[in-house]
Amino acid sequence: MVETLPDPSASDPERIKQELMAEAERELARRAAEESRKKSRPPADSDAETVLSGETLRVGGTSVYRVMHPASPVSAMVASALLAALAMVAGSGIGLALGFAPTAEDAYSSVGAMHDSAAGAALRSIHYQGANVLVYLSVVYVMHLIWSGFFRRPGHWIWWRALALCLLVLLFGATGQLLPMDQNAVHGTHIRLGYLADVPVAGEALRSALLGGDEIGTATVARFYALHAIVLPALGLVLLRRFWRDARQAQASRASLLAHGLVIGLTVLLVLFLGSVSPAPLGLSGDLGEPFEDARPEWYALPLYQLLKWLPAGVMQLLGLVVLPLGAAAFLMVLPWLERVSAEPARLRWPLRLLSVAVLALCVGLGVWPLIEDVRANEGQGAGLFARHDVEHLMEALKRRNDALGHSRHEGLPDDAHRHARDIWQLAQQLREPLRRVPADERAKYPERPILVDYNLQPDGRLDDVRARRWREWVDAMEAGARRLYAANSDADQRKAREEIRKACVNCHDSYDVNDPVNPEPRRVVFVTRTVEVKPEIKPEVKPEALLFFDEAKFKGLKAAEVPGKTSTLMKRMKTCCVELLQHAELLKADKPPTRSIEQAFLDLQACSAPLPVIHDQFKKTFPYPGWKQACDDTDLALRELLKARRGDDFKARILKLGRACDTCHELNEEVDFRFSDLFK
Amino acid sequence: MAEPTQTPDAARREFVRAGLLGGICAACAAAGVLTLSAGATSGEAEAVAVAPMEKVLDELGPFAALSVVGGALPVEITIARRDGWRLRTRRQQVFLRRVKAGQTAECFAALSPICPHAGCSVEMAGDKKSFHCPCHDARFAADGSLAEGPSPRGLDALEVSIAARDDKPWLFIKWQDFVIGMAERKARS
Repeated sequence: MVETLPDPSASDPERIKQELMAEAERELARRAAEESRKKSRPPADSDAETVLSGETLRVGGTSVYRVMHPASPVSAMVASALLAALAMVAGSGIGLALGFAPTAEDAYSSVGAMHDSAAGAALRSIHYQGANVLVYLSVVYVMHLIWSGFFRRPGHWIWWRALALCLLVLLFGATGQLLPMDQNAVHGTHIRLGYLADVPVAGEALRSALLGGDEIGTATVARFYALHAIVLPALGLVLLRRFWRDARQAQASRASLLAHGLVIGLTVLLVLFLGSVSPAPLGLSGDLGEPFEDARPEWYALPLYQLLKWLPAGVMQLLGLVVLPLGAAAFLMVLPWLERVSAEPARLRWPLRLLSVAVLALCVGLGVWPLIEDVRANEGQGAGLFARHDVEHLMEALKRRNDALGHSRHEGLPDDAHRHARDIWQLAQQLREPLRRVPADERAKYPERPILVDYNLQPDGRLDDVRARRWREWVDAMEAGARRLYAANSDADQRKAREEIRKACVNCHDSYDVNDPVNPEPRRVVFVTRTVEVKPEIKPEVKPEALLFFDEAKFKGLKAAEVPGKTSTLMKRMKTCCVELLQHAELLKADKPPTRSIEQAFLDLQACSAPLPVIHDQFKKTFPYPGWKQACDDTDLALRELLKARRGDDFKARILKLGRACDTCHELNEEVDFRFSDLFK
Repeated sequence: MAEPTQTPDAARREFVRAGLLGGICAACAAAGVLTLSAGATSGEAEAVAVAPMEKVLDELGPFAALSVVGGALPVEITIARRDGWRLRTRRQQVFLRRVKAGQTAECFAALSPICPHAGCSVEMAGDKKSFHCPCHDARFAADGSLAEGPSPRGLDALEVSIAARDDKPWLFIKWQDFVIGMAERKARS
């Protein structure tokens, strides 16, 4: 019995009158039948607003609204869709809550564990996209009420209920956003709580009550979780009770069950579709100490975000942040007092329709603006959601995790190793398409060209197959190591996995020009699209294990005049390493933990000393220092011996020996004016 | 607007009942909130050791950028944070600058990387001297003063001191949180 009712408020009063009378007659007949069935019992539905009464049915009175509103098929459909989305979000929320640990240390790992299983990822996506659909539907619902004039008194409760629904959805979003405790969650909530403190009078108190500490920690997660999973759902249930009646009344009176089933099915499909197209993201583990430049608010807060970029601090910002949203909310709240329901079309109908469309368009415009800015930011590299990080950035992040895991073979791993393992795994995936930002001076040289350089390209823009292949192998190795560390069952396993990760890192550092001082020519600036095919049949010329710190091809390109300068650069770097090792020796004596791992300093030292004999081989004819080769071999031997030393005085003595070996080289090279013997007094 | 199917008395009774139950629930919840918010933030912060002065003054090594006047570099310190009932530590980046030549504490200055606008972490711009906030595009000059953007004030300075540790002079930085979003510089305690 699907009836095609025109929008009641859009037609003439006579039509309304007829429709209403017909509707009332049907309702009365139905109610009479019901009444006769359960005569003795009081009506189960005691909600005064939804109970129809023949006596009060007058055009222009309250009852017009009562009959009119539930009879509107659109709001009934929207209500059904909302309830469907709500059911999905609530159900998936319960599922997620079962596996969630609300502490600062474990929140991220517990969400990550769910995220890594197929069912958990699906649950997260349903929860995430279901919440998004709830926001869409709330906006549609409010727009529908405005559009059809259903904000008028005495239907104000339905209108306020819609506004309360919007507020609840926003609060759910704001509290739920922190719970995964990834970088975006932690930094975003940190910023939002900062804004909250700006609110006059109660802001500061509210902030500290929500934080429960100096900054986001276990107390904060516990509070947000309680709000998100207990307090807000309880309030939501109160709201839902009334909402459910609106929807039921509407279902009973107007549209067929089939239509409602269809809407519910479509909503479920929409959530599933969105969830599969854009699953819930989970970034790196949250740490306020690590700068996170990609913090962006949820999409529905983007208009405010853009506004805040323009408004200067102080009064203007307060206006934009507090007065504007609160003012808009207050305006919507008082709308019912501006007009009563009558048989005439709503007086405020067109002004409000136009206003709502204009505001919506403005919000969309303001919301899309920062997205466009982000896509274009950093000369095409993107920012925020669209960021593609360059290699140096990713390596910096990896270094943080490696440091947290510890370097020394004798050191145990921290308790939260799996968290770092997950981060490393994610970063390794980003390293698959490595990018590098070109420094400013190089950019100035080629103003007409884009500024991104692909790491796997040769200077002339062709794909360097060997390079690409090696790179892929390292990334694979790192990923495998991270996975192994993530799933490790024993301490020994963990250490082994850590070594694997480290090896992949060191391989990459040693053979790439990432921090390479022996790179004679700056690369030309080239740009390629992302779809570069690597031909599998091309074998690497060198085995990855045998790779050296420098690129031999580049070495051959060195001019003879540059050689002494290059060697002295390497020697200076060796001095830095030696000084650091000396400090380690002191620390080892005092039995204190070293500030940086000894192994790292060793590796640096090895990396610097390895090219020196090769320089000699390469430039035998032009190299001015006889006896160089012998001195280099001595150094190498001393270094190997140093590697075997472990503690205290023995360590220092062997460094001394290394220093002496080095000094023989230093005496040969006039450009190096320091002696190691001066260091070891 | 009493409906004939429902007496005013019934409505009142339901209202009173719902109000009582809701009130009891809210009162218990409020009591829980009161116990939680006590003693939530830590007091006066202590200065944190950064590095021995000989390392800071070395022209090579990790602090090399500080060997020229105007040079700045990010350093990481470990700060204590109150989290509910316990104290945690975490690493925090701060910017250390050399303001003039010499070896005294006045020759160095430290800047908090927290943008006074919204609390994001600012990053060093490509020239290694000025600072840029990636959230709302505020820019700060080398000395931390506001160059452009929506921030109400420049970057906050942190106290630098030199004190003995293990009989050697060390550089110390005192971390402080400042109230964001206002022109006046006020430490949060």
